[in-house]
Amino acid sequence: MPCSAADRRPSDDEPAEGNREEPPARAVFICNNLGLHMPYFVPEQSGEGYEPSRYLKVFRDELREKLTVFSGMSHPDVDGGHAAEKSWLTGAPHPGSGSFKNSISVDQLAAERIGHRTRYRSLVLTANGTQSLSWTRSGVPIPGQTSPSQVFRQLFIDGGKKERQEQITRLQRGASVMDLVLDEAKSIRRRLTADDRRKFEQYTDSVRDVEQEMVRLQEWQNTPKPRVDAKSPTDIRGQEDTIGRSRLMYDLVRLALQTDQTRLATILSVGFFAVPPIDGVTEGYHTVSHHGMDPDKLQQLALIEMEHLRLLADFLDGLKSVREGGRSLLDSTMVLFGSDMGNASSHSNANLPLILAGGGFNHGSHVAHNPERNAPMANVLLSMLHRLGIDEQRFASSTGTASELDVS
Amino acid sequence: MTLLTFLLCPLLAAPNESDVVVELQPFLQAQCADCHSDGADEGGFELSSLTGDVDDRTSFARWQRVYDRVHRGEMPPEDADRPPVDEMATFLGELRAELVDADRRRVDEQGRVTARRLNRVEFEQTLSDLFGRPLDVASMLPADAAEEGFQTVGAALNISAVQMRSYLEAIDAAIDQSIFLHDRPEPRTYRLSLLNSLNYMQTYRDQISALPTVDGMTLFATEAMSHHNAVWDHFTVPYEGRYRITISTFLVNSDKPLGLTVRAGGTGHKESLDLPSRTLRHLEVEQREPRQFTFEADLLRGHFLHLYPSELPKRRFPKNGKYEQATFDGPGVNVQWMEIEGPLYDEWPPASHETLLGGVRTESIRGVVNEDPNPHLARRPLIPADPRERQEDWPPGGNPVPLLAGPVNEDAQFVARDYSNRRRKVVDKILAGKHPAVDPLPDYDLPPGTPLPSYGGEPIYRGVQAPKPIQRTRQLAPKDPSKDLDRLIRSLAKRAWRGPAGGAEATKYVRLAQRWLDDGVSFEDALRTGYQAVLTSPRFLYRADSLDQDSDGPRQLDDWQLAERLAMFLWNTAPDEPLRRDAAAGRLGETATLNKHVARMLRDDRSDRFVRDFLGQWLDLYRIDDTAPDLALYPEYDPVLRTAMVVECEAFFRHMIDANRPAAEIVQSDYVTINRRLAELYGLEAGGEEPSVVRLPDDSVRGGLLTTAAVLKVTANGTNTSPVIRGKWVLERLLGQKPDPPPPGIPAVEPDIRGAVTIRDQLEKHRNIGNCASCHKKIDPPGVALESFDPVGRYRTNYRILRDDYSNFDKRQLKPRYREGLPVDPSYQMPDGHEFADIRQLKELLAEDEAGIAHVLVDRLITYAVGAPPTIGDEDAITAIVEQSAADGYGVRSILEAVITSDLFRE
Repeated sequence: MPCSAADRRPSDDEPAEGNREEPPARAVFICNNLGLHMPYFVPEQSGEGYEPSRYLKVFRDELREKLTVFSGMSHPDVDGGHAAEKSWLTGAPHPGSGSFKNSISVDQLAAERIGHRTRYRSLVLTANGTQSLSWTRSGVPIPGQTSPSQVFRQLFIDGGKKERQEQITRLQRGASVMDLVLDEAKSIRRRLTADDRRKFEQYTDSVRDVEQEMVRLQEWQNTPKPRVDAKSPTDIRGQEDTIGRSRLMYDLVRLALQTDQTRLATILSVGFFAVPPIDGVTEGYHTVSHHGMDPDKLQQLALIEMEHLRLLADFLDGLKSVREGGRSLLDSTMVLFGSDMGNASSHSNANLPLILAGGGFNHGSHVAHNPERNAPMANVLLSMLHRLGIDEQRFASSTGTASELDVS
Repeated sequence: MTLLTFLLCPLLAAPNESDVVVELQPFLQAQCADCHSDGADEGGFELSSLTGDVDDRTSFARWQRVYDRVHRGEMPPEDADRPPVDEMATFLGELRAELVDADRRRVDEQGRVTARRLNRVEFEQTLSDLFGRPLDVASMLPADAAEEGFQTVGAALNISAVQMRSYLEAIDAAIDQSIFLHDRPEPRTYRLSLLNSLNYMQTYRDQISALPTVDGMTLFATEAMSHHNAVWDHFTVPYEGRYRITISTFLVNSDKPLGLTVRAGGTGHKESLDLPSRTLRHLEVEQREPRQFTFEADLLRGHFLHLYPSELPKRRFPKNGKYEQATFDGPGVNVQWMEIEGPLYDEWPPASHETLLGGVRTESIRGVVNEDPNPHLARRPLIPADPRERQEDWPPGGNPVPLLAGPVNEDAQFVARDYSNRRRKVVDKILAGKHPAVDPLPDYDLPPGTPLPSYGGEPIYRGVQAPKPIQRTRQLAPKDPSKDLDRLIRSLAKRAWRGPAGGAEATKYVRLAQRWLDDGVSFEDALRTGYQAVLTSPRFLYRADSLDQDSDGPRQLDDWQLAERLAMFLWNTAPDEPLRRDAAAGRLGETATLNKHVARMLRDDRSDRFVRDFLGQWLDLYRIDDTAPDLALYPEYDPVLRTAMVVECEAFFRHMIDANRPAAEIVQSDYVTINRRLAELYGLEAGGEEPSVVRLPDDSVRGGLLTTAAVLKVTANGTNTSPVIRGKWVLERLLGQKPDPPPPGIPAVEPDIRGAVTIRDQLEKHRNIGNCASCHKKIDPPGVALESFDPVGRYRTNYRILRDDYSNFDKRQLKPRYREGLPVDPSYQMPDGHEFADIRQLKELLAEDEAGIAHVLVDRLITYAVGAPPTIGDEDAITAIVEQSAADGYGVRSILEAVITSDLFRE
C-alpha cells in the first residue's frame, strides 16, 4: 500500500527535518466490555518465557515477543459492573454511582497534545453498542462512530473539486456561526447562577472547540486524502455479529494509522444478548458471559473469546507487516487490549485482563501483580502517554509508570 | 468549632459544621462506628467520609444516603443491636430537618434545575413545528444520556464538540428537507400487483411462501426472504410527501383475523436501506371477502413498500419440484392489489418552504428534469377490477386457481413463456365471461426469449435503483437580497427563540448573514449561515426555564419560562400562540389561566407526544425492541403484537388522563385497553387494530400497567425472565424505591435455561449470602409474582424449555420447539411478612397504598417535566400535590393539574 509519512501534511511543530526518520508514536485502545475468562487467559508463570495459556496460544511465539500480558491490575475505586466501561480509559472512581462525573480519557488527553499533527485528532469507534471509550475534558462522552463505511469515506474519499469547495464553505460558515453564538453565550452566561454558569460552560467550551477544529480542518481541505487499495467496507447490521463488526473497525484503524490520518484510536465492542454467528455458539454472548462456571456456557464463551483474540492477533500481524523507516508499524504503535470487566460472570471490576503490544516497548513477559491488592492500570496508561511524548507526571490513579516495559 | 466537639468526634473534623450535625454525633458513634469507622468500611462506607458541611453536594449525597438507609430500617442491620425507637426518631428528625434546610438553600440560590439543552426529541419536535413539517433529524444527533430514568434531566444533558457539530449538520439537513425548489409534482395513481414481480413469479417461485392467484397473490408467511418480497412492481416512491394507499385483501384458510403489515423502507430493501424504515400500519384482515383498506402515510423518495402477514410464522417451501404452495391449506392473506396515489400536498410550495424562503422570488432553471423513477409503470394499464362485484363464493373453490401448479422448470425463459401463455388463456376466459375472476391482468412484461437471470441472482433489483435526489428546477432570484435576509432571519428568530424579546436580538445574526452576502457568497448560503446561527444559539438550544438568573429574588419562573416548561412538558415543543399571548400579557401565572391552558393542551392531539415520551422513558417503552424474543420458545411474538403492546400502554395512560382514573390503576384496574391481537395473548375478547376499553373478569391476572405485555417484555431479556431484574424495575419505576447496587464479587443469579432448577430455588440460595437479604426481601416479591408471565407477556403456569431434539427440527414443520418445564410458583411474601399466592393478590396488596402510588407518579412527572429529580426538601410539596388530588380519588388528570400549578413546577 502506498503511503505513510509522505502523505502527512507538514505542520508547524513537526520535529525538525533531521529527526524525520523516527516514525511517530501511535496508540490504539481496544476494550471488549465482557472481558475474558481469566483462568483461560492468565499464564501460570510470570516473567519471560512463560508457558502460553489456552487463550494466549492464539498468538504465534513471534508475536508474543511483541506483547506484554498484565494480570492483577485494575483501576482503584472503579466499580459498578458494566458501568466501569465509562472509566476504562479515564480511571474516574465509582462510575456506577448517581453523582458520577467522568474525567478526560487518556486518548483525548493525548489528542489535545498531538492530535493537531494529523488530519483527524483521533478516531473514536464503536464496533458494537452506542457508547464509546472516549470522554472530553469536561467529562462528556464522545459518541463513537458506528458505521465503518462512513469512517472509510471520511478517511479516504475525497469529494470532487466542487464538493471540496462546498466543504470549505461549510467549515467557514460553521466557524463564523460558532464565533457569533459564542459571543451571545458569553453575555447570557454572565447573568446565570453559579451552578448554571458551571454547566453552561460546556456550551461555550464546545462552541470554541468546534470553531478551532473547523479552522484547522479548512487547512486540510486542499491536501488530498491518501489513496488506499482497500475497498470501502460494507456495514454489518444487527448487533449479533460482534466479531465481524469488530474486524471492520480494526481494519480501518490499521489503514488510518498506516496513512497517518490519525495517531490515536479507541474501539469499544459491547457484547449483547444476541447469539453471535460462530459455530458451536447457541446462546447470547451476554448470557454465556454469566456462565456461573457452567461447563457448557464456558465452552461457548471460550469460542467467542478466542475469536476476539484471533482478531487481535490478525490486527497485530497486519501492523507488523507494514514497514516504515526500517521498522514495522507495530513498533511505533502501542495497542492496548483489555476490558473493564475482570469477571463478567460476577460483574467484578478487579483483576482486569490486559495486553499491551507494540510501540517499541520491552515485551515478551507476563507481568503478574498481586490479585488481592491490584496495581493501578493507570500506570500502563501513563507509560503509553510518555511514549507518545506527553510528559505527564500522573494520569488518573497512577502511582508511576509500568517500569517493566522500559527498554533496558 | 469548639475544642470540645473536636475531641468528641475526631471523625468529623471538618469546617462549617452546623450544630445539628454535631448533635447527631453521639448517635452515629454509638450505632454506626463499629462497622463504619477506624478503618472498618463495610459496604464501602466510612463515617469519616461524612463531613458536616451539608451544603456541599457530595457531602449532602452521603448524608442523604445515611438518612435513607436508616429511615428504611436497613441500618443498623437486623443482626446488630438496634437503638431505641425514640432515639432513632430523634436522629432521623434532626437529620431530615438539616437536609431539608440545605436543600431549600440550594434551590433558592441556584434554582431547581441546572442549565440544560433541548434533548433529541425536543429538538426535532421543536424544529419541526417551527419549520412546519415533520423533520427527520433526531437520528443525526448523539443519543442523550438519562438520569433517574429520564432524558430530560439537566444534569445528564451534556454538550460536547461532537454534539455541537451534529447540530450544525442536523440544521443543514432540516433546511434541506424543508425547502422545495422544484415544480409541483403531479399526483399520480399507481395500481400495483405482486403478479408483476419477477421474484414472486419466477426466480424464487418454488420456495417463496406465496401463491399467485388469478388476480392477486396469497401470502403464507411473514417476511422470511424479505428482500425477495420487497418490490411491488418495482415501484419506488417518486417524491417525498403524503400518499394515499389503498390495499385490497382477504383472508385465505383462516377464520381468525390476521394482521397485514405495511412497511416502507428498512431491512431487505437494499436500495432504500439508508432511508428510515417506517411501519405504516398493521391492517386487520378479518374476512374472506375482499375488502379495501385506505389510509394516508408520509413517505420518502426512494422508499419501497413492503407487505407481509406478520402474524404468520416464517416459512419456506421445499425446492423439490412439487410446488407445494398449490395444495397448501394453511392460513394466508391474499393481496389483490395495492393502489398508491400521490404525492398529495395541501399547498405548494409547502408551508416549511414558506417559513424559510417565503416571499423570495424564484425563477425557472431551463433544461432540468427530474427523472421518473417508475418509467416501467407508465404504460401499464390499471387493473379495473372492482372486487366488491364478485360473486358470493369467493374465492372460487376455496384456494384460488393454482395457475402455476406443476413442476418448476429451471429454465426461467420457459417459465416466463409458460406463465404468459397460461395466463393469457385465463384472461381470455375471464374476458369472455367464462371464468369467475374479473381482472384482466397486465401481461407479463418481457417478450418471450428475453433471457432471465438464473436462480440466486437478484433480478428483482434490475432496473430498480434508488432514485437520484430531486434536482432543483427553480432557483432563488431575490429582488433585494439584503432586505430578504433581514426579514427572513428576524422572522425565524422571533419564533425560534422562546422568550419575550422575539427578534430584537436578531440584529447581530442578520449582520453575520449580511457580511457573508457582501463577501460574494450566494444568497442561500448567506441565509443558511444566519439560520444556523439562530438555531445553534443558546436562545434556541437551551431551555429558558432551566437558565436561572443570578439574582436575590425568589426562584419563580417568569411567564415566558413557565410557558416553555408547560409546552415542553405536554407537547415536546415551543409554546404556541395562545401561550405566548398569555405570557406576554403576564397572566399565565394565574392558576385559572394555567388550568385553562392545561385543559386545552390535553385535549389537543399534540399531548399524545407527552404520553409517548413520558411512558417511553418511565416505563422503558422506548426500549421495547432492545431484546428479540427467542421465537423457538415464544412463537407468539411478532411485529403486530409488538405494536399492540406499546399502543396498549399509551391508550391506558391516555384513558387514565381523560377519565381521571385513580393512580392506583397503575398496578391494578378492572379493565384493559387492548386490541384484537393483545386480546388473543390475554385470552380476552376484543376486535380491531385500535385498542378499546375491555372489562376484565373478576379473576383476571391482568389490569394495571404492571401486567401489560409491554412492561413484561421490557423487563425480560427475550429468552427468560429474572425476578431480580423485574423486581428491581417494579421497585424503582412503580413503587419509587431505589435498591442499592449489589455488592461486588457476588455472582449474579441467572436462569437455568435447561430448566433443571427454577430461578426461585437459585434465588433462595442467593438470598442467604451475606447481607443480600436486606434488599432482596423487597426486590423479590414483585419479581416472583411476575414469574407468572413469560418474556412476551403471556401468562404461564410452567416455564417453557427447548426440546432436547431442538436442533433436529425441520424448520418447515413449524411444530412447537419447546416443551413445558417446571411449574411456576408465584407465591411469596411481602417485606412485612404478608403472604400472597400470586400476582392477583400481590396487586391487591400494592393497590391498597393509593397515596403511595400517586406519590411515585408525581415524583416521576416532576422529574420528567422540570428536569431535576425531586429531593428530600421537596417531599412535603409532593405530599401536598398528592393530597390535593385525593378528593378525586388520586385521579391522574387531577394529579397532572396539581403538578402544573405546584411550586415545584413553577420554580
